[in-house]
Amino acid sequence: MKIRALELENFRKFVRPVRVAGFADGLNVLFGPQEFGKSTILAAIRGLLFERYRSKTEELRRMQPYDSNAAPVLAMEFDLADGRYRIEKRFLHREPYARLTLPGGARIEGDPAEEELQRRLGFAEPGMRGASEASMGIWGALWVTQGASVALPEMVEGSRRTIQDCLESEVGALAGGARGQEIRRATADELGRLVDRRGKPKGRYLEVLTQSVNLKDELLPALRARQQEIAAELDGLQRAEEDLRRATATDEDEADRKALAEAQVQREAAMRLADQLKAAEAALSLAEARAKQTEEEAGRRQKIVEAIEAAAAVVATTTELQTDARARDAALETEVAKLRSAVQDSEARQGDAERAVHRLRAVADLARLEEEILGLEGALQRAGSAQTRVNQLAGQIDAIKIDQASLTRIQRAARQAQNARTALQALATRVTFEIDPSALGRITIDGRPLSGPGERVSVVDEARIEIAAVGRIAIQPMIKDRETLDHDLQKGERELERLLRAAGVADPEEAEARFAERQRLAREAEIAKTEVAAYAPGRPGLDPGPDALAAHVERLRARLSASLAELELSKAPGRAEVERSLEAAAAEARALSTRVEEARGAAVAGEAALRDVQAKSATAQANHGAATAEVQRRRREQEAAIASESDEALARRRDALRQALAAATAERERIARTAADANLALIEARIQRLTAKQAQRRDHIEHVRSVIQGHRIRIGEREGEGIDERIARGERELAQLEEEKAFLDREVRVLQLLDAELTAAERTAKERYMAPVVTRIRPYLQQLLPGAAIECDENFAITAIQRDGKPPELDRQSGGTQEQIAVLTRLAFAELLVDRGKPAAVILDDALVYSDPDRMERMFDILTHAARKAQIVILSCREALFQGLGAKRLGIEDL
Amino acid sequence: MRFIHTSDWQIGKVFRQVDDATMAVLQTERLEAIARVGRLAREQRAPLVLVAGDVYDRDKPSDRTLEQPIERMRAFPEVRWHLLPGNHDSHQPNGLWDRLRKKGLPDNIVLHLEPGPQAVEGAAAVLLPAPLTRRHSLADPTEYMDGVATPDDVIRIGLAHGSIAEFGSDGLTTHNKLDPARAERARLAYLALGDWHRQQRISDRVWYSGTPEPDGFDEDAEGRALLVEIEGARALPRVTPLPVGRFRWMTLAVSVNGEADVAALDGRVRGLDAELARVLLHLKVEGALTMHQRVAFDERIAGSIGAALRYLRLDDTRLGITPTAEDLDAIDHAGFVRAAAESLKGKAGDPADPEREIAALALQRLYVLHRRGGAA
Repeated sequence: MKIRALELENFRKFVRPVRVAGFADGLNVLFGPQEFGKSTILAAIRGLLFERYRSKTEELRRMQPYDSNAAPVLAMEFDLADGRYRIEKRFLHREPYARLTLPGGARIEGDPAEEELQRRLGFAEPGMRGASEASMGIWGALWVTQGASVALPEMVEGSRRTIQDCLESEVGALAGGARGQEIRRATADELGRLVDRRGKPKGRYLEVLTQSVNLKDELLPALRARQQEIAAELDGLQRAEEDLRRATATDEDEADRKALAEAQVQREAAMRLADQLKAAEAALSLAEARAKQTEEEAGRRQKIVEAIEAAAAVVATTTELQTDARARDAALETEVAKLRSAVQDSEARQGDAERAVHRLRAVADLARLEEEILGLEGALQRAGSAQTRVNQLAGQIDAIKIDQASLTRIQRAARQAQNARTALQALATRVTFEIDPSALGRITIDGRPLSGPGERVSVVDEARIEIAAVGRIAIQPMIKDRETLDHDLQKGERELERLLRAAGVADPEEAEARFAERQRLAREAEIAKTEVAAYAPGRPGLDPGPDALAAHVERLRARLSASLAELELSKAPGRAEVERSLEAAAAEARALSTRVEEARGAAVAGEAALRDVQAKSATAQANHGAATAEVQRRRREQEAAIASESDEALARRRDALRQALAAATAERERIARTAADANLALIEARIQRLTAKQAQRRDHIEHVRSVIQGHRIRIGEREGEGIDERIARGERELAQLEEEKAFLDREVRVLQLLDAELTAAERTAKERYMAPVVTRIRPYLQQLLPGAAIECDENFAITAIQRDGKPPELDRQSGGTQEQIAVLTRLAFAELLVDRGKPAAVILDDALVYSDPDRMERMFDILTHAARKAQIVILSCREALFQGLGAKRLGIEDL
Repeated sequence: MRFIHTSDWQIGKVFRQVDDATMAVLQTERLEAIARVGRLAREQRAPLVLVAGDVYDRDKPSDRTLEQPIERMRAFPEVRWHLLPGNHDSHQPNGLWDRLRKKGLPDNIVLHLEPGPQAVEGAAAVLLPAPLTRRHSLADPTEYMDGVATPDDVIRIGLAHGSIAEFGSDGLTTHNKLDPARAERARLAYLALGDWHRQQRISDRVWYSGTPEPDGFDEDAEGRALLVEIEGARALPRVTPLPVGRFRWMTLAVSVNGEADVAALDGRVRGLDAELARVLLHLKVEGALTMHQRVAFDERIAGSIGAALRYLRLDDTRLGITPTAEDLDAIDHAGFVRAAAESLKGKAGDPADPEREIAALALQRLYVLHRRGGAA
């Protein structure tokens, strides 16, 4: 195929109609900057050829000019083997069209035009979503959009078919044809029924495996367990039946019954004996009780006699005690009265002494107060004189008007006046006299005689020198700014004058002296103030200063006078004397207090003794009465007892009872010995044991019967299910499954081997018929990458490139190399197609941008070589890059 | 007296070697054999049927299995069936015989669960059964018969199940051994034995009846029963084998090396029985065939003959394939399929290749696939 011309209108940025023409047979290049729309050219060719003219896909809408709904109109002229064709289409229009002009001028319109084009160029009808790589077939691989050129051509079904069609015509017999494919597919299908792609079992194979495992590991073990259960039940039943036979055997039961009857007879005898023993024991207790009663009566009578004797003794003793106590009571009462009056006496004296001490303490307080007053008065006096001096000094200080500020101002004014004067003097006219001393007296200056023969005078104002007998000389000094200077001087002197006057001094020197005097006075006043503070310092409740102190002294004095009046004293006595009297009075008071305590102690002791004697007397009296009453009561008791039974009668009765008791004891012992031989407890234990044994046997039989019943029920439930048959069936099924599994194992291996062999053989065959493609790529590749080899799989994908014997992966090649190889592959395909008489042309959009100059040169050689057979159109924005190619340059012209 | 001697009904037997459909038929036929024995007794005017053990195949049958033979026997009220527990259905407490007793049996069925004399035929004869009480018994259960006293003119008939010591097919069997001289020692007119599935005469007075319906490829014989006629206590019995079986189990081992052999085998198998549908055949084939011949073998033998037989168990693991040039040409003259065939042929012919058998099968499969595609 050779593209000859292309026309665009309303296609993206080409709104006005344009035409690209002048395509050469071989290499063509269309330059243009990025925004120029060279990629639009390829889009236009693909859209024109491969999209249906009636189509309204999104892809087509993108072909419209920006912001416009104008209908794109495209046309292309191209040559095939039989001559020139022209195809025109209008898209997205109310009346879209497709027109194909055939060599010789015949024209086909609409769908037939598109169908004819498909047939001639060998591509498929686009789908609902418009043209795709699949529908474009080999053209999708040969006409590569910008950026896609780096990747190897993606061989979709359509393009592969095209290439295969080319190849099979040459080596078709080798490939094995459609029937070979049919066998491969059949093999894969059969294998696919048994295993998945990774070789994992599926379908019936998986079923067989699963079922056999299930049978072997679950169902059969479960059935065998069930079988065991039933066997165990049967065993259990047999054992239980045996058990029952043993339990119902009569011999043992009979023996037990006999033993039980015997034991019951024995028990009767033993129980009778026990009753006799009980009766004997009751008789014995009765005899014991009677004997005990008579013994007690005898004892009671003896105790009464003893009690009477004891009470009589008490009566005698208490009578004596009462007499003694009465005598002691009288003596003690007298003694106690004396002691009480002694206590009162000493208490009165102690009171007097305490009061004397109290008064003396008050007097001593007065003496101390007076001392304090005298001290304060001395201080008050000194503070007063110091205060007077402070006041005087303050008056003197106030009289001096000079202070630090006024002194400073005077000194500054004096300096300024002096400065003014000095300035004037500096400009004065100097008059120097050199006068003979004898003539001195004849000369005056301004009326003043000269002071010496060499006097020098500075003249500021007009001066007159009179020389007696000679005349006068007037000197008129010419001083610049004289008036200003004069004014300054006068102003300064006036200011100084004013300040001095205000300060009341004659000159600055006096001012300084007066200020120094003021300072001295101030220091003296400070000293006097310190003295005042020292004598009248103040304290809490008393302000500092002589006035407050004086008021304080006054208050103390008043307090002193009041206290003196209270104590009826004219003046305070001396402190030392008062304190001595106080000490003596206190000592006396203490001595008297001791004496009071002693007297009180004596009185308390006396009272206690008195109470003791009185209590003893009362006790003796009470005891006496009680003892007397006891004697009388006991005598009555004694008389009553004897009246009912004489002592002799009682003694006779007691002896008789003692004999009866001895007899009863002997009888009980005799019966007890007999009873010991027949042990009732043991007999009862035996009866209990035998009874329990019988009950147990009954229970056991009952239990075994229920066990048998249980077994029978369970066996009855299960025996009918035919567990043996089920196991046999399961085992049979397992055996058959395993047989089938062996068969399927082998089947899978057979099919896998067959599949692998067919695949390998087909690959080998394909490698052979791929040779034409590889043959065409190889020279180019060797030119580009010396020493490189190529592998191409059955889908025409370049799978590996060997270089210098090493096999680097294609992916690892640099981006540039990858792209170059991709371009080579396209060239080889195009060449192959052209050789087979099929239409082909290569369009490269912005390809080879990553190539270095050396590689670029080689690629140019290859492109040039390839262009001898197939037309190549290069679209690029890099004019400089392709300058060395020597291709036909195409331009876009307005129509 | 006249009676039918049979044994080893093995009701409930499961057949491992055959497919499900065949098994169902075989099981049904075993039950039908009982009816055939009953009809035989009727025809032969034999009022007794002695079943010498193994009525059932398992000692814990399902209820249905348990009752099926009983119902078959009930249908012949004029015949008295004497049943003896064998090693497959030994009499154990609460076992299948107790189950049967509990369910209640028809009057024409007599169980012999205890050893001891049983008068039959009025008092003209005494039956001495030797039931087995466990699967494997070391003692000879017939021993007691020696000590049982009967009037001289009474016919003594022994009924037992087990192996005769000298004649057993496996000399290793040590249990359920029976003394071959028992008939003499116990003065028996006839000793009816069960256990061996193939009918066998041990002596004039001692017979194995065999199973009425064979059940294994190793029992290459017809199913039969015995008609026994005894004139008197010391007379020799007249014993007549009579066929009652339906299916025949056969085993055939042949060598096949070419189309002629295939044809011969076809003819031989077709000649095995007039009614191929009653034959179960275990066919063991060895030899070598070309791929073309193998296809013919599969079609004629595995296909057609297999369909004609009740069941064909084909063992062809020793039947090799020797592909010829014509075979390979038949697949393809060129192309990758032919290349794969050549490669497989190489593998199949290489004794060192572990996959050689698989390769041979794969090649055969390729051949078949190709033919199938060609036919399509």
